[in-house]
Amino acid sequence: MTGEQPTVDAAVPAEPDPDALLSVRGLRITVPSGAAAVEDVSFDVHPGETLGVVGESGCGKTLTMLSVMRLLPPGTAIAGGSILLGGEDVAPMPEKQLRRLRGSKVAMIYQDPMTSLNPLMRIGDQIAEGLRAHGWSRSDARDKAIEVLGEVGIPKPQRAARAFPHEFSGGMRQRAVIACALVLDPELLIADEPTTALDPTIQQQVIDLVVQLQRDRGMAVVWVTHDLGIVARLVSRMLVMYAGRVAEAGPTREVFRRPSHPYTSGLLGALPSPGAGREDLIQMPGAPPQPGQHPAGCPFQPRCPQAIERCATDLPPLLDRGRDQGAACWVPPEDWSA
Amino acid sequence: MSDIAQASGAPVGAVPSRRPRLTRLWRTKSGLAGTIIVGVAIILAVLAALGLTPYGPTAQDPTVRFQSPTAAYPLGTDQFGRDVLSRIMSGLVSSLLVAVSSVAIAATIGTLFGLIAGFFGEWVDRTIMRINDVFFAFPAILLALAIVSALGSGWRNTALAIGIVFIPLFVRVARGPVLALREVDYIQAARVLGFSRTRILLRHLLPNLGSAVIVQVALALSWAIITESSLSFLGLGTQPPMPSLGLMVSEGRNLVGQGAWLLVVPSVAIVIVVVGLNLLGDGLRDVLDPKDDR
Amino acid sequence: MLRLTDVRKGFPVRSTGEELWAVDGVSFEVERGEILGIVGESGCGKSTTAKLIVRLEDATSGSIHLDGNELVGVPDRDLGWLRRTAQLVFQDPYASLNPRLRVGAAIAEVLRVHERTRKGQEERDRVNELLGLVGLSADFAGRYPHELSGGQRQRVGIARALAVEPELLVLDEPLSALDVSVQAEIVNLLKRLRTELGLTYVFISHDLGMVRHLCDRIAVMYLGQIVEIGPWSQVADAALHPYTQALHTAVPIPDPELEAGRDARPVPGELPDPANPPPGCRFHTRCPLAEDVCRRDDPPLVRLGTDHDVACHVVAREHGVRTDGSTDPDGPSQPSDPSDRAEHP
Repeated sequence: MTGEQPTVDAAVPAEPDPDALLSVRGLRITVPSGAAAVEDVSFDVHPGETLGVVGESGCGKTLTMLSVMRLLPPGTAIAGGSILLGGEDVAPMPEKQLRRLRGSKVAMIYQDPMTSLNPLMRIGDQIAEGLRAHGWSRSDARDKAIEVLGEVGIPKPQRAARAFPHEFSGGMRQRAVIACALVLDPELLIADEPTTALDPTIQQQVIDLVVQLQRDRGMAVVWVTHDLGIVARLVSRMLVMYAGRVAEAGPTREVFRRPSHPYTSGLLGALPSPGAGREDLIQMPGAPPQPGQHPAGCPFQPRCPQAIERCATDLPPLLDRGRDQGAACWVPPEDWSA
Repeated sequence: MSDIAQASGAPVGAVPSRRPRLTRLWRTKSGLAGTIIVGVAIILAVLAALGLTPYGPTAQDPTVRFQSPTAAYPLGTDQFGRDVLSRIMSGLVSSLLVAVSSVAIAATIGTLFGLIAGFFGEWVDRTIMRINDVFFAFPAILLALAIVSALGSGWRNTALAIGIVFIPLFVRVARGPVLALREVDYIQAARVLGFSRTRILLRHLLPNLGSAVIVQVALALSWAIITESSLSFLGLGTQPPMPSLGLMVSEGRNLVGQGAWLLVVPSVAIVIVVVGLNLLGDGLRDVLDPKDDR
Repeated sequence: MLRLTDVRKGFPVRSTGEELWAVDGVSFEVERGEILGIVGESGCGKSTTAKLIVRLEDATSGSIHLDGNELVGVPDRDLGWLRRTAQLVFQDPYASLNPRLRVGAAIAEVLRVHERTRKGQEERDRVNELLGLVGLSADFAGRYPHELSGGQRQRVGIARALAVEPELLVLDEPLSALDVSVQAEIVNLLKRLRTELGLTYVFISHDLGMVRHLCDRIAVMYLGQIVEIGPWSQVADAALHPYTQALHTAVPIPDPELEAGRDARPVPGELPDPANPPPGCRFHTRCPLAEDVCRRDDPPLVRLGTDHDVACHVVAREHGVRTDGSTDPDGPSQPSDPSDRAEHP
């Protein structure tokens, strides 16, 4: 890292955490143009923990989590770093070994339940398919599929197993997707905006379901979301991403109470606060840079109200801000101008 | 305005502009082959139209009847000693003239009706589409035959007949995208903004039909050439002594014994032009696919 | 300025041949200069209501008065005045601009159609002025929509609507396709425009937080009907209808300390099919307060506070108001007649 100050420590140790379920270090992902869409991303997820990954569209949060599944879109590739899942690095892993991990160790649910279900296949068969791939017998797989459908709160699971996705409402579809994801008891569930397309009361039901399943099974969940409300409700630790990098990381309460990166502070100020007055919302000037068009120094510097001279030339690493909090910013919050 | 500077940030995403699409045509194999074939055919026809054929297309020379292809007559001569190459070139003129005028008629009227059917919907749409279905139900060549019989032969009437026969194709092609676009926000916005129907139709809907109609034009041209040739073959299209590809096939059929090239050359010419237009149509479809036209 | 009276809009359902009542007996008023927010989930009829007000759809029955003029059943050709009075801002800034028109041309076209300026320099000046009004510099006039970000496109959409110099803007989910920081920009812009131009807004949204932030009054819709309407502080912070309360609980607050103290149990059940709404009160299938009367009778909106109307049998009774319109809790019980939906006076 350029010009790291000797007085502050990096917030994330350079070595992977042996106790973590998922330990990502120095992850770099390139898009077809060769530019980096994700760069130097490091974080840990411990067993049973809930991590929130927040950021606006194009910040690299989805790519980061897709790389854990090794399901990056064509042309997009892991160009550096390590992704330790249960101690094994998935970055160089051959496809065959990956298939064994997907579903059983780590599973993912997406924003649009319709595209993650095969419209021509019965729900029960889709769930059983995952089990069959892992060596279950046909009848065992069918019984297990029905059991899981019941577990995710789908009424009359026997009958639902024979239904096609289009016969389900949006909320029920997302439940079916969750059933598909959880049927092999993964230790880590990656939830990529699974409730964004749902109505609030249905979103709440789905969130409630995931929380309950997480508690029952002791699995870790990563919520990828742009919704700071969901983060505040569900998540114990959070990661704020900006322009493909981690801008801030820390316990949710600390980050909300005392944001240490001006971007986090801007995001929080952009939201209307319930129960308070109706002053103008805080605006962040400009827009995030595109991959390959990052300015020198800190990627947030052109929009940053706190920028100092150094920000234009030196890229800040994730610096320790105490209370388990880290921010990629040269200016500590106590030195911010109002 | 304090936030002018803020809002004028970098544009999002590098969306390819729509101009260089036609040059992409030549990067597809079928587009390149189609362009070359059709280009050569057009050049030959233009030369013929300017009177720049090697010999007069109707000039007879009894001394050189039934000559097989030689250096002087690259495609041979016919029963009156006329140069086959010159006649093919002139034949291309009438074939292309009929094809272009008929497709122009069909594309203009068909697109207009398709636009109207799609935009107004309900009974307007139902009426136009039912009539369309009736037209579709007839085999094209029979319908064209009937119309030419009623109007009389000659290239103008042939063009008109083929034009009428092909109208339904364009109604279909134009109506589909209009149905989809009618519900798109910017068309709805145009209604809320109080734009007249004519303005919405011509300025906001019509430009979106360009790619679909262009692809259809290329394909319709090839069918029009086949239809024109068939009508001439049956004696209802271009009249002798004016050369036409279909007419030449018809005449060559009776003379196979004396000179097989008299049948083979015009038939192959038709096939080449038709294949060329089809290749061009495929190429255009690949680069102009309305599906990725946002 | 805008008054809807018992407005209904039905769409034929192809499979059953029955009518889907997307908007089923909606009445409200909007005062000049006011911002009315309409919130609800999918299928509640909020977007259809927006379309009825700008006459993209015509109501099946009822009446919509704008500036005293009726617009239900009036033929399109007689609606020129409406096009100059009320404009719509769309949800998806990617679809609401013609991709083939430069920003300047799109705005100039509106000026020309409504003969707001003379062609030439005056027109160019006005286009630049409108762009400036929404916080865009003049060089945006030469750009195509695909060169703009979502927020910039939404600004262009607003500028284009403002080109006719309307009095009423209907905003149909104008923020939901935008990132959080961009939403803040657009909301601030809308607030400023209202003050500068004296506009009236109908702001349609599913985001209670934003509606609370921006609106003077809030209407909550469920399955084609208004279940609660009142001043923002009442509906947002002291909601009475159990559905409004459920909606509040469902939306997580971006504050971990407040969230920790909340009882965030979800209401059960799916949104019923709008083509086949439950009898009686439409929310009774999911309502924690539901009683027999709720399964039988459709509750009318009754006034329970200052300018605050709620359609709920149980809540009304707790406030000593009967849902047949009288205010005497001790009077003889009469079944309320759904066909006689007593609107507040």
